[in-house]
Amino acid sequence: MTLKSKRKHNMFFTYLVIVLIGIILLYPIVWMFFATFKTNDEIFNSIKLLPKSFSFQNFIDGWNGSGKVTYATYFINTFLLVLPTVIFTIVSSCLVAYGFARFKFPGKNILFALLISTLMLPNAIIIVPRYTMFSKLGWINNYMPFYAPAILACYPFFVYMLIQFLRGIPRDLDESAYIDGCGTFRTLVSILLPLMKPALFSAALFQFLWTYNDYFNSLIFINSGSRYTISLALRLSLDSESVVNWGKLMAISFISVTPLFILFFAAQKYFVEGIATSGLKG
Amino acid sequence: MKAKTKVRTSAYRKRDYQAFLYLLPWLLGFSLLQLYPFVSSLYYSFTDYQITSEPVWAGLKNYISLFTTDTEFTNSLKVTITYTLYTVPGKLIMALAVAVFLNRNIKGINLIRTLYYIPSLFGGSVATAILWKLLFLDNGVINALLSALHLPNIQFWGNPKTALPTICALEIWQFGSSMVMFLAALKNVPADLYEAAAIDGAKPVQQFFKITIPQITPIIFFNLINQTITALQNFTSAFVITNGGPLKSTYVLGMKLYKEGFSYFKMGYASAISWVMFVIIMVVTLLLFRSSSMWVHYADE
Amino acid sequence: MKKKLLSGILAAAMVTGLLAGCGNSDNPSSQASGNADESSSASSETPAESTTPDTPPASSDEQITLRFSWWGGDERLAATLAVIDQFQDLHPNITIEAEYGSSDGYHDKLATQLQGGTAPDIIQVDPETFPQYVTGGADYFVDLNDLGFDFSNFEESYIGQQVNGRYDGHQFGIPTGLAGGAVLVNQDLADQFNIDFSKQFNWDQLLEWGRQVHEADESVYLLCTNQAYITNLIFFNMAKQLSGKTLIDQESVEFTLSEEQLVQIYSYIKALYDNNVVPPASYMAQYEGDNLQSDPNWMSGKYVCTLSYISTIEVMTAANANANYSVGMLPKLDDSKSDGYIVNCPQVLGIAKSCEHPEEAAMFLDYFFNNDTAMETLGTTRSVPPTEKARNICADKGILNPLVATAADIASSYTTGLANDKYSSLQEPKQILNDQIEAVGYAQSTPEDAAKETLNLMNNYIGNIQQ
Repeated sequence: MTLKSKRKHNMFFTYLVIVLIGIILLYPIVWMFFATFKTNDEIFNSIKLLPKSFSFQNFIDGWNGSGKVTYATYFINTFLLVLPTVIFTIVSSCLVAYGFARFKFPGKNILFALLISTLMLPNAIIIVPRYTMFSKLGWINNYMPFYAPAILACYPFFVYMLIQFLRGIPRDLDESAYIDGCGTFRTLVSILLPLMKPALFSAALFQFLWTYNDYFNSLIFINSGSRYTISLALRLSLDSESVVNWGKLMAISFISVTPLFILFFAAQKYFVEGIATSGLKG
Repeated sequence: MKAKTKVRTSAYRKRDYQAFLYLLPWLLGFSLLQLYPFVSSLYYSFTDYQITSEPVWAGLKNYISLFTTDTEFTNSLKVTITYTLYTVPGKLIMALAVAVFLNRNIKGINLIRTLYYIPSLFGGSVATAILWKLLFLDNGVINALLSALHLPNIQFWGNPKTALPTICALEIWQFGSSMVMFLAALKNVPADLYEAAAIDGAKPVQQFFKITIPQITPIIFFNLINQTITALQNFTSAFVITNGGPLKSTYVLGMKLYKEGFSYFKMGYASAISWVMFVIIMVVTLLLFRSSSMWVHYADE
Repeated sequence: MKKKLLSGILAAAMVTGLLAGCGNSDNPSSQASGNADESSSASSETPAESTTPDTPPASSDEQITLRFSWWGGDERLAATLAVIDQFQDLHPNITIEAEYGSSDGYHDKLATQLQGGTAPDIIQVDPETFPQYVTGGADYFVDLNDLGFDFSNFEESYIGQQVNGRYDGHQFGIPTGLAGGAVLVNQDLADQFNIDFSKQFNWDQLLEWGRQVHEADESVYLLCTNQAYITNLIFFNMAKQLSGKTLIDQESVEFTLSEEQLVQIYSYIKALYDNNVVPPASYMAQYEGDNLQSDPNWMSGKYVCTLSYISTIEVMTAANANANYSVGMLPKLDDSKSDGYIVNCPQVLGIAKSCEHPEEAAMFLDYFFNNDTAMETLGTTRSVPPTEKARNICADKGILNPLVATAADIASSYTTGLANDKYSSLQEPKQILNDQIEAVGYAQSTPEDAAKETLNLMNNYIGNIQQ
C-alpha cells in the first residue's frame, strides 16, 4: 500500500515537472497565437492570455500587406524557392552518398575527408566570393543561388547523413542485385532507394525547415519585393514607417510558421526518426 | 564469369569507377561553390578590396588591424564566444537533463516528445525573433508576468548585461531537437547494463555517470560539434532583435562580418574576419576530435 | 522512371524554347505571347501616343523591362505601385519591376549591386550616400541633362544643390521632396510648462527646460529622441555650428573638430541624459532607428516635444492623435559659425549607367515628377513634394499637412546650414560617433574619453581613406 502510494506520488511529481517544462516551452507560441487577435493595448502591460474578442482583422490586414502585394505572393515565392531546393538537394545528395558508400575508388579517403571537412565550412566564409560569382552569372534576384548549391550537392550534412544510413544497409543486397544483372543505377533505384525512404524523407524535412527559415542568404541574394520570401517580408513589416502594429505582425508571423506546424504534425514520425538516425551513427 | 574474377583481383573493380559519375555533382559543387570561394576569400583577406575597385595586395594589414586597432572586432569575438559558451552547453545540458528525466515508463511519451520539439521547428526564423523581441520588451508580457509575481521588471533589451543572455535564451528554448536525439540514444542503451549495475548495488547517480553518459557520448559529441559551428555563425537573432546593441553587447561576429562586408564594402577586411571565424571553428573542432578518443565511446570499437 | 524523367526534361526544354521564341521573334509574336495583355494594350496604345508625343516611335513594339528600387513603408509602396500602373497603362510596352525593401540594409545591397553591374535601372538613393557613387572617379549614374529631362518645374536654387543631385553641373539625381530637422511640439504640454518653442532658443535653454520639466513631473521628459537622432540631429548640427565645417573636410580630408569641441558636444549629450531631458538610453534602445513613434510614452503624451525630421512629423502625430501639435524652432549655439540645419531631400532618384534603356527610364521619371496625376497619387509619401506645382496640387487636395509645410518653412529659414558631404555622410564615420554617443549615454565612457577615442578612430579611418 505504502509502496503503491509512493509510486503514485512519484508519478504525480513526474507529470508536474513535465507539465511545467511544457508550459515554459509552449507558452510563447500559445501567447503568439492569442496575440494575433489583440490590439497593441491588449498586448502590452497585460498578462491576460485570452484576447477580449476574436477578430480576424489582424490576419486580414497583415495578409493584405501593402495592399498591392499580399502575403500570397510571399508564400508562393517561398515555396518556389524552397521546394525545388529540397528536391534538388535530395536527388544530388542521394547520388553522391551512393557513390561514397558503395564504391571503392582511388582517392576515396581524400575525397571523403574533403566532404567531411566541408561540414565545418562556415557559410560566412564563402558568401562574398559566391556573391560576386553569382552576380557575374546574372543570378542575383532569382532563386539560382539557392538551387545551384542544391543541384551540386553542396549540403554535406545530408550527404553525410545518407552515407551513414547506406552503411547500415547490408551490402549483400547490392551484391545479389549485381548477380541478378542489375547495373549500379538500377541497384540504387530499385534496391536501395526503397530502403532509404525514411532517411530521404527526414533529409527532405530538415532541408525544408532550414531553407524555409533562412534569412541571411535571402537578405543578400534577393532584391525585388515581388520576389521576397516570407522572412524578408516579415522583416520589412517590422520596420514599417508607422507605429508597429504588433497584433498584425504576430498574425503574419503565425501564418508564416503554420506550414511548419502542418508539416511537423503530418510527418512527426520522420522528424523523430530522422533525428535519431542521423545523430546516432555519427 | 572469367572476366569478372580477373577484375576482382585488381585493386579496384571496373564497376567502382562508376563512382565518379555519382560523385560528379558534388565534385563540381565542391570545386566551384566551395573550394573556389574558399580560396578566393583567403586571397581577398590579404588585399584591400573595396567593392568599387579591384583587390590590391595588402599583406597582413587586415589581420594586423583586426587584432591591434579594431576594438570592435575583439569585442565581437568576445560576444560570439560568450554566446557560444552560453548556448551550446545550455542547450545540451537542458536537452540531456530532460531526456534522462523522460527516459522511463511514462504514458503519452510520444505526445510529450512532440510538444517539446515544437520550438525547434522555428530555428533562426525571423518570425520567432520578432516574437522574442515582443515578449521581452519593457512593457512586454514577460515584464507583466514579473510584475504580477511582485518581482522587479527587467530591461531585457536596453541593458547591455541582459541583452545577450536574452538572445541566448531564444536558442536554448529550442533544445527539443537535441533532446529527441538524446532520448533515442538513451533507448538504445542496453537494459542489461543497468540490471548488472543494480545487482552490483550502483546508485542511480552512479549509473548515470558510469553507464548512461558513456553509452551516449557519440551523440553528445555530434551535437557539440554541430552546435558549436552554428553558434559561432549566429546572425539572425542579433540582427533582427537588437541590431547588435546595446553598447555592442550582442554584436556577434556574423554581424561584424555583415557590416564590414555589406555596409562598409570592405570585402578584403570582411574576408579576413571570416577567416578568423573559420580558424576558430577549425581549432575548436580539432580539439574536440582530438579529445574525443578520451571520452567518446563507440559501441563497435 | 527514367523515361518519365527524360520526358520531363524534354517538356521543360520545349517550354523554355517556346518562351525564348516569343521574346526573339518580332511583330506577330506579341499577339501570340500575351493574350492577357492584349486587351489592356489595345485600349491604352492610343492615349500613350497622344500624351507623350516625343516618345521614340521605334520603342513601342519592343517589350522593355525596367527595374525600379526604393525603400519605404506601406503608404509609399502603395502610391508608388499605383504610379507604376498608371505609367504602364500609358506605355504598355514598358514593364516596371518594383524592387522595394526596408531602409535597413538597402544601401548595403545597392553598393554591391552597382559594383557587380546588377543594379536596378531606376534607383532611389539616400542623398548622403549618393556622393560615393558619382564623385571621385565613381561613375554609376547617368546625367539626366544628357537625356533632356524637363526640370522646368524645379527651382534652380533647390535643384542646383549638390545634396539634391547636381555635381559639377551634372544632374545625376532628382530630389523627391523637402527634408530636414524639425521640432514637433505637444502644444498642451508646452503651455503647461510655459515653454515657448516659437522663438529661436539655444542648446542650454533646451537643457534647462528639460531639467525643469522632469523635476516638475517625473513621468514627463522634454525630448523624445533616440540615439540615432541624437547623432544625426544633435551631434552633427552642433558640430557644424561650432566649426562651421562638415565633419570631414571634403577637400583636405581632415577631421574638423578639435578635442575640446568634441568634449563640449559629448558633455552636452551627457547632460541631456544626466538631467533627464531625454529618457535613459537603456529605455530608448527599444525604439532605435526609425522606430521613435512606437515609444508608448510618446503615444500616451509623455513628451513635450520630439527632435526628429520633417518627414516623420505625420508618423509622430498619427502615433498620438490626441494631442495638439505645433512646430518649433531648432536649437542653436549663440555664437554659431553656421546654422547647421539645411533643407535637403530625403532621397534622390537616378538612372544607373548600367541601364540599357535610359530613354524609357527618363520617360518614367518624367511621369513620376512632372505629371499631375502622378503628383496627386504620390502625395506626400516621399515628404513635402519637391516642386511648387506638386505642393499646390497636394495643398488643393488637402494632403499637405500644415504642420509639415510649417516645418519646411522653418527649416528653410536657416540659410547658412551645411549639408553633409562626401566623407561626412558615409556610414562608417557616423558609426564611430554613434558608438561613442551610446557609450556616453550608458555612462560607460566620459566625454573626455569619448573625445579621445573619437579622434583616435577618426584619424585611423581617415588614414585608411587617404591611402
